[in-house]
Amino acid sequence: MTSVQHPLASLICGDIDNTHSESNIVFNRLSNTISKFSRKLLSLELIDEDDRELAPFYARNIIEGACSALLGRYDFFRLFSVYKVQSSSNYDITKRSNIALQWTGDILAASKAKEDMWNPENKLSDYDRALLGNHVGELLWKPGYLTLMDFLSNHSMTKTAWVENLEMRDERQFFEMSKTEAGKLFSAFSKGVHYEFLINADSIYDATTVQDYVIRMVQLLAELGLVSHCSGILVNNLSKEEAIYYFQETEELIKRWRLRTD
Amino acid sequence: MASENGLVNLILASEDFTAEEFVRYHRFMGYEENIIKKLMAHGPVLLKGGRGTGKSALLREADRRLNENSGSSNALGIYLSLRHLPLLRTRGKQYENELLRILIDKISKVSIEKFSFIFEATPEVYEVHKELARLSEYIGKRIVLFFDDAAHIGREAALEEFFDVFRTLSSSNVSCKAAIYPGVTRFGNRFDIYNDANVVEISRREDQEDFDEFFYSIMQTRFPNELQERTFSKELNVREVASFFGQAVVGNVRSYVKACSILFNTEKTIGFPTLSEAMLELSSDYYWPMIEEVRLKIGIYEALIEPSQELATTIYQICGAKSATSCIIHRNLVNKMDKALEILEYTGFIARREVSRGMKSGGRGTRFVLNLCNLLEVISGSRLTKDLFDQWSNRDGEDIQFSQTSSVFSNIKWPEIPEDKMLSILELPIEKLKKSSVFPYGITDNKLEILKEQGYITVGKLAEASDDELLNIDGIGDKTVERFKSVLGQAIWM
Repeated sequence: MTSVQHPLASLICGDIDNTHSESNIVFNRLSNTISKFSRKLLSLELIDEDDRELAPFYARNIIEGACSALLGRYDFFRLFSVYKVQSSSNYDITKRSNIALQWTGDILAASKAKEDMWNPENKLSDYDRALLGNHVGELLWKPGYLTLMDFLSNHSMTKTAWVENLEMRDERQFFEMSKTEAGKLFSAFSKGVHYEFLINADSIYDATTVQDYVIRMVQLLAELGLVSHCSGILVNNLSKEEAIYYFQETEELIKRWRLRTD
Repeated sequence: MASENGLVNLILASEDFTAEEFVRYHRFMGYEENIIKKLMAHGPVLLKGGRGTGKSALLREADRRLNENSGSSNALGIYLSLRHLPLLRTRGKQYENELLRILIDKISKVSIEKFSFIFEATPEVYEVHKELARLSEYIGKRIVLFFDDAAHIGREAALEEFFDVFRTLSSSNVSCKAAIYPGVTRFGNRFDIYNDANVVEISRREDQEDFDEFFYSIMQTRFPNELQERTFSKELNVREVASFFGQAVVGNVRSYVKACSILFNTEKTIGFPTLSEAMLELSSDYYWPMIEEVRLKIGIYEALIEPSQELATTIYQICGAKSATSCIIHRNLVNKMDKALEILEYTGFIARREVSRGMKSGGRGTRFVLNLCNLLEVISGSRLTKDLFDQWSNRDGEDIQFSQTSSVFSNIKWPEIPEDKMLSILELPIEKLKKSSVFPYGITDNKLEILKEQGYITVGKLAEASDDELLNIDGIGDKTVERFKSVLGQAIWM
């Protein structure tokens, strides 16, 4: 890696080794993006209008980068394909790419999962690989969450507000809330960077609200990052102790930022 | 708030404070500040917490801050208490009309007073939605509607309509924030709990960073004179006591104020015996009677009071035998006994902590912590010693686990729950509101006689009376009407 990574980036991208494999190049880039924009975001003074207008842009970069990295940690084919296409000599940044990652489709499921998700009669297209789709929820997020809960209850540690917040949910609530929260925040940040927004944006993206969105986003990503290291099926896993360390370090940074921007 | 006899700390609900007193008697630490910020920010929020956890205080504070520097603020806060009897007595479209009528009245008042804007809408939800958008554009601010006392345990028949209104009014320039109780599960077909609101749950846990400081600051704010006058034994200091009592009442602010008022109502030096006495008094004169008091207020779940009492007795006896301060109950048992557990949470007997803990016997369960006052009552000797104080302060010891196959609750009979039932408190004779330890600002004998002569013989009758009707009675003035409202508030609402 080229610079010291932000704890949120370490939590999301995990343990990237020093070899120059293409997978490391991709994860290092994402980690650098998350680190860079996290630093920029958490240096903003929300009382300042110019800073406030930048927040949704930085935040959207972080949430997209983080979700792409998490997706790539279990579906490297998907992430790697994008990398390969973008590296191709025919790639033209002025044209829409057919393989580009899509928020709806890759991060949130494009369609509602069937009630009986694992019914053998279901078609192949019924099985969704989206990061926060119900199938990945069953395979990754819910079991990972339970493993984390077991780890927390068997290890004595200082319980911070974010850890306690996690413990107040069950695995279904954790997954459902993460899914909808990601959708809401992505939508809020997207509207914040689109200037076709014709209603009074100043009062909606005021300092209090932008601060709330930013904190919610970092907390959501930190939670997903932490749980990702407990599912056992992703690459670049950190030990649970390391993951909790980065999780709490991220929480501490947010706490300090909140105090500064209050 | 009434301040007669200097009994300021007996006023336990934040709704009873005037604006000035509210500021004077409330303190907020980092944990509360985070919640207040969420309430001030744009976006729908359901604030969930049991009785006395501070929901109203947080809503009022968020509203106060939004309107404090109204010139520079980007938002207009409108706080609305839904403590209106007609809302309890109506259902369906009628409820919606009643709710919107109250809301329109409140918004009209605020918009005229502050912005000379005439808010014109009929009690139709889309009309109100449109008019709110017009008001927001006119004043150049987003609007935050705070619905206090929106949803109660046992009063769920009209909740679907409430959440429909909540959802429809929430928009790009209007945020709805509502205080609800744990256990509210009927949100209606159109309301998606995950999509249509952020749920913020109040849970003050003893290992939180500001926990000790928060409870110490309440003691300082509410009992400044007592703190100066009382001495503490050399084994204890005031901060330890504040923190221990905060834990003893599982982080519940209202119970804590009550606990302190009992503790300071003694001339003795405060040591372990005084703490013991105060905790036992709280158990026998506050917690157990509270279940009885709640019986009258929870409508359809009234029949669950006896099973809840049996459940509490069983849990406390088993945990008390080992001085254990918490227990894990298997998920299937939690599902089976959910409403009874909610009643116990609601009355402060237990507080939910981890929702999904692995159990030794297999499966997963919810961990609950117990209030230490009721626990002290059942442990051998019922005496708080230094060792026990240290053990409980550190939350040492294992959890008691109630596995899926546990038979300890099998003797509890679970009754059928009716579809609908009016609150029993409304049918009780008006003497129920007499001045007493439950209602320190209750109605005097003389006023009771006057009311009875005028035909106000039940609590419900008095609650239905308008201010004008009461003021027309000889011997009843403005102050008395306020007092009636205060005692009715305590009697009917949570």
